[in-house]
Amino acid sequence: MKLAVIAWRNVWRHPFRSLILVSAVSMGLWAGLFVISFFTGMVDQKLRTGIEAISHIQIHVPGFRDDFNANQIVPDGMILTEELRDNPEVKAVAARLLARGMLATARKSLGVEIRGVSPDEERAATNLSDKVVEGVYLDEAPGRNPALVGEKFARDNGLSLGSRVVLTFQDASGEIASGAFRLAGLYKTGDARIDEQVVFVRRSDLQTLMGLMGEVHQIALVLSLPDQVDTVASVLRIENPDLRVETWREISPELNLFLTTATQSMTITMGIILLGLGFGIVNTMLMAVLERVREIGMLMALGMNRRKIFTMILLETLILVLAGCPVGMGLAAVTVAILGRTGIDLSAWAEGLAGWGLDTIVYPVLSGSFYWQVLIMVAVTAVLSSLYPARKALKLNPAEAIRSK
Amino acid sequence: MSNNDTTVIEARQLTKIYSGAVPVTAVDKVDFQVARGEFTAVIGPSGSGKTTLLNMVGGLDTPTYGSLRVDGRDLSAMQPNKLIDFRLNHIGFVFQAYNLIPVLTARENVEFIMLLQGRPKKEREERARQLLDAVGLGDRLDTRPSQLSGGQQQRVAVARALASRPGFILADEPTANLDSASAFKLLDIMRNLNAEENITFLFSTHDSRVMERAMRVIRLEDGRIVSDERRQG
Repeated sequence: MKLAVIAWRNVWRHPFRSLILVSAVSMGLWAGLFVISFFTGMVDQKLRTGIEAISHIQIHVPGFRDDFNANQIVPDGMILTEELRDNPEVKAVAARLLARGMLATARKSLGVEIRGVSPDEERAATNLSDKVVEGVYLDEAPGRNPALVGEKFARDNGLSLGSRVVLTFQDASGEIASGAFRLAGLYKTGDARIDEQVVFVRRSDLQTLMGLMGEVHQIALVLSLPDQVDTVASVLRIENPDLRVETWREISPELNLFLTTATQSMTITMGIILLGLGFGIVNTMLMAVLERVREIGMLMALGMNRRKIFTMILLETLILVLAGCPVGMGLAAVTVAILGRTGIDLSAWAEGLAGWGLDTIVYPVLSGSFYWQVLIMVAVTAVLSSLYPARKALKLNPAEAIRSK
Repeated sequence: MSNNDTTVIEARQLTKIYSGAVPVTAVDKVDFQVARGEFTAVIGPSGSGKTTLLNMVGGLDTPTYGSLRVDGRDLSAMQPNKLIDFRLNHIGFVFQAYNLIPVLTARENVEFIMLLQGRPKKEREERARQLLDAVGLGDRLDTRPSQLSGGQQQRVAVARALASRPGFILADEPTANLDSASAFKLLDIMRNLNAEENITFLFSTHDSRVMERAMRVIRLEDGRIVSDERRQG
């Protein structure tokens, strides 16, 4: 017979009351973990989309992202691209030629960003080929000068597969150049800023038109281990002091802000759940202590020291709270597993979500380690919440407590 | 009685004053000694200071003035944490309202004290069985307090008080909640333990049945000892 046995039996002295707290812990964890898995799924999708568009690291010459000047090419860009392809920390490399210009249809002209890409590199780096929802990808297109535009862009501007468009931009000599392109495919990334603005063409076609054969403006890197971004970027900065090496956080502060905000929201949500849990525990344990004043006084009188009294109350609290954890976490794991496969359809809010670059189907996701983290947080909450009831117990005067009613 | 090895409790000028708007002197310059093997009742009307006196002797309250040596130690100078250990190892308590741990069986209640003392499991189990046998509850070892009568619960409390092998047993109104038959049975057990095993008992009581069986009766009034009578067994 140990203190834990006494604590266990004390917990089940009032089974109904204990079960209410156990149920509250279970339901709270279930709901909380589900909300967090929903947020996490949304954030993951947004980050995946955003990073696919940006890549983990981009290399330009300084000032290019501000000026978009055709002459701001990466010196020996293709050689550097090949070197980076051999870097074991780099999963994929995409060298791009970029231009800002006009897309002219038979009826109107529209401002666009033109990305000259290698179809194979882009397939590896951004899965662009998988995002073609109509027509074919750049390397499957018949004829000269194929182009891809966003599905929504095409729909809004009366374009369809096979439509002929003229792209106008500045060439290497500063002159206005233009080329006729035919829409080979329509893509959809889920990021409105890409889908409504970017035209993908073959790099070689754009190099010819711009007079920049074998040159690139941007080298985008996708890393094998995304959390190594800062380390790899630091090394590249040292190796290429004349180039600007930027991580996705620097290139897209709004994406970073989204991630920070979402993380804060999840932290606040978890904090509210733990706070509610804490109040519930304090209430229940205080009740348990106050109705056992005489008994606790008797234990003190008999010679049970303060450390053991505290341990007993702490154990009772932990038993009550941790008994609810497996149920709540189990329900959450099942819910996340099912909805993580089927997804949650938010198409009723499709337009608003697209504005934020969010998909209409959210797939809740939670890592295994997060369950352990939650378990630890709940245990810490239980310990902290038991302090006040335990303090009440420890402050009892045994002589008075024994005579209490 | 001189202060020698046989003295279990020795109080000199023991005083307890409860402070407040009007200070109350609950125990007033009391001198007394209890020798090993005595079976002593402290009697007196309500408010006479019996409980305060027993609380001080039991290390549950501290004197305002005076000295108090219990089982050879000066309790008046002992720190609270030391007092807890002292109570555990030197004093056996029997309270008025049974005060067993409701979630433990009779055997576990008796074992509990030894668990706090860190005694090995085997020793705990054997002694608990022996003590419950001694108080006539050898057949109720695994019964919880709620399934025992008041008298049986109080006998478990006596067994528990003996479990730690204390210097003496302090009992506060041990028969107050018992019917006559249960009270007599409890008193018989306590008296036998006193006579056969030389266990010292000091108890407060209003109960004439207890007073009749006591070998020594100390009467308190207004916090002072007004009589201290010894009887032949």
